[in-house]
Amino acid sequence: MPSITLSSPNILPEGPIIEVQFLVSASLEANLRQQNKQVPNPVTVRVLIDTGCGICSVSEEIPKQLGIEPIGVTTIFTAAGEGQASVYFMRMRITTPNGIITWEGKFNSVILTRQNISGLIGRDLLQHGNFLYLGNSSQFVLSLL
Amino acid sequence: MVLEKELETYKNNKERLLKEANGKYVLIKDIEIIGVFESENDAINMGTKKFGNSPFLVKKISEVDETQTYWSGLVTIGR
Repeated sequence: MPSITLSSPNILPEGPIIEVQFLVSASLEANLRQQNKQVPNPVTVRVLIDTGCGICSVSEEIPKQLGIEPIGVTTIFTAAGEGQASVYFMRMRITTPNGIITWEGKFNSVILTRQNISGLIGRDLLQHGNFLYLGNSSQFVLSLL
Repeated sequence: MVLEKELETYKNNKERLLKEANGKYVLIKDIEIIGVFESENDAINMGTKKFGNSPFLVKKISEVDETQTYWSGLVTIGR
């Protein structure tokens, strides 16, 4: 099980943030290559591991940068009220010292209230692994099958 | 609105889909129901195979639509 352990002096003000890459889905990449079309370059951003979030979510900018189209629409409830979010199917890649974690799944496209992150890792991904928050050592560990 | 036609197609066929395939995943493009699948990933992959990088709808057939709640205040709505 690949895992990543990160130490962060800013874990108290910022929370557990990791750098990831977003890519088009494997099936879309295969489709584009078959048609001799350009496969979009991965987009590298910082995301927050958020156990208060049920589904992985990204800033609206990510699917725009990848140039991908939605596969659904969902109703979301936030502190600001009810709204609609487009749903995209993508890959998220995390490079760890002992392997690459690739998660392919649905991501809600949302408006994030924080400027220094572009996405949230939610419980839909976390249910497939382990997440440890080691506050007294300012570290966290994420491991996924 | 994004996927407006597809959502309308789902709404117009919902009663029949619930009777025939409750709990499964429907793939819709414009006004056409392409197919019903046991798994969401199968529906998405079929949609990508048939339509490439163009919008299509994959929706779980259920009486009540799933919603998502963001508890941490990190997500807001609209502008």
